[in-house]
Amino acid sequence: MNSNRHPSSPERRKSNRHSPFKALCALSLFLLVAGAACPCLGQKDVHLRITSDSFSRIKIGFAESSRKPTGEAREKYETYIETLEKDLKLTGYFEIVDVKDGDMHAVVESEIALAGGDVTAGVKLADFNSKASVFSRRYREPAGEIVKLTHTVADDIVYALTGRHGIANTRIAFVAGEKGKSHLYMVDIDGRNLERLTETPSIVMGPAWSPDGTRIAYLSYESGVPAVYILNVMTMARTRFSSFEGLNSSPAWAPDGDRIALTLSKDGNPEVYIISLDGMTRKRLTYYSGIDTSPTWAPNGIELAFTSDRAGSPHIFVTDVQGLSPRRISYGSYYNTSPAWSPEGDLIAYVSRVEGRFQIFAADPFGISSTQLTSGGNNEDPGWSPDGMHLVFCSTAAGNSAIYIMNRDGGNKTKIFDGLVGPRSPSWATLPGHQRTQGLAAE
Amino acid sequence: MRVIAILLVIALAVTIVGCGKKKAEPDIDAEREAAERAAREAEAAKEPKLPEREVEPVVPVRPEDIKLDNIYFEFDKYDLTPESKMTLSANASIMMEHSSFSILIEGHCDERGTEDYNLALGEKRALAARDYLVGFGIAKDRISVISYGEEKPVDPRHNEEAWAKNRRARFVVTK
Repeated sequence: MNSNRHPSSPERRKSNRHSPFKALCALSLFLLVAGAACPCLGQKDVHLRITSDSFSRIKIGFAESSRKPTGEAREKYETYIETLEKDLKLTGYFEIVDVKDGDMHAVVESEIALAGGDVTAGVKLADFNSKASVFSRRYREPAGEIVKLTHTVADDIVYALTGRHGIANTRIAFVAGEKGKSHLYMVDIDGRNLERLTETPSIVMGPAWSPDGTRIAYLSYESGVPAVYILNVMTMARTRFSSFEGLNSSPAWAPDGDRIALTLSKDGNPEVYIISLDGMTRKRLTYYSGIDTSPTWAPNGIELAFTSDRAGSPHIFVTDVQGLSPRRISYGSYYNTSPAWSPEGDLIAYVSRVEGRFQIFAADPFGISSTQLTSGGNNEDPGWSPDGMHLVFCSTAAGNSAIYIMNRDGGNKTKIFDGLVGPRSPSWATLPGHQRTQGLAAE
Repeated sequence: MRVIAILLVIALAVTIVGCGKKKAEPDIDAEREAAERAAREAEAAKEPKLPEREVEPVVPVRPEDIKLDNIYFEFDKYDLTPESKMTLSANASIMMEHSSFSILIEGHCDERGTEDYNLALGEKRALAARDYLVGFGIAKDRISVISYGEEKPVDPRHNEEAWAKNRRARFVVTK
């Protein structure tokens, strides 16, 4: 598909339900020019910030340094520009423009050189009109790692201009393979470093990353019955986390990383439970004779959304960690599943059956309004980017099942992986070591 | 089996006589005659089989010889249809007849819908079948359940006919 639909294209359709939700202003991009000069570089601290869901793209141009690279450095430079352009476009925030056009918000000047076995980059990001410097930084990586270097530059540019963490250094865990004979895989967001993570084909489902991006909880039938396993992708050490009698499925890590919500049927019925990572404490969250499953955590760690058919057909409900006063938030369709609570806390993405097809919607946690984010084909398994600005999902819009990402408002749908057989159930995490707490990564 | 047969015949005889009672005066002779006839018939049914047993040793019934029919479900439903209940009742009789066997009930779904939800749906289908069998007095510990969700379709096609076949609970005799 690889379409670049504008976020406000007609496909962005609202549910019929009465709703106070309004599309936020088209562009809320403002420039903060702090007066204080940076003592070390003698430059001004400049931030461009995006403050709303819907926005026009930031126009950015690439200016080549006056010192032109030659030979091998030239090749590195070309890879660098190609990767940077791809990375920035993937975020959905940017429009790449020709510097000669002279109409842009920001300009990046990059100088690529080879030093010993390393490649270095001197990157200057500036506001185009005022010429005020946003940052000027140097990067260094082994010569073979120009793509890795560029991803770091891209994330720094995204962070400096939007206040968002960027997605260049992230990866997706997913399931692929024929039904009943599938495997767990992971792949970087740029399609590199595809890795199979399971030994023997089995029924594998529902991978979920730990918040630190080092472990994946997933369901496998490799012992003949469904059990939840935890795989540490740094060490490849694997443990069986939950293997009660009956169903053990739908693991979801709490934001603190210390607890996992999941579905167990050991008490005679699929119900949602929370189990501490050490297995020492277990709390049952739901009490209903039908189906309760697919938990997802609010970022505050004190609420969860889940799917239940207690209203007669599957709907999304929200409850607190005590399981008290569950409230329904889905109304538009009689079939609603796969809730995924955004890391920002303000939206719950889920799947609804509309006109016989499955589409992704996003609702606020009170179910006051919901917005349809996909159309065409079946679109399922929504999951959030670590920064909460994007969704990853599985779509048959272009025929065979493939993994796509889109902006949180449904814009900028981009296919990121269509290899293997029927890739599905994506879960998105930041690469370990790239979690950004505040400010730019250390040089 | 034979004891059951005798009992059935006697019960039948008693019932016939019992019904007769309501219409006419009690006919003790006829009643006795019927009972005797029933006993004779039961004896007659028993006798010729005795030598057979010596000639043909009884072959133990193997799990794979016992066939239990699937039951089918509506889309996104786990309640039992009248047809499913009839099948389950027949399956319950077979289980009572072969009380040494245990079964595994597999719950399956069609390919539509969320994998994760379908896993729970398949579990509910298997559990609904189990609970109905338990209602007939089948011991709960003879029945285990597993859900395969949409992972093991019996018909891989993507149409209504295939989906209807795939929304099923399957009964596997285990030992």
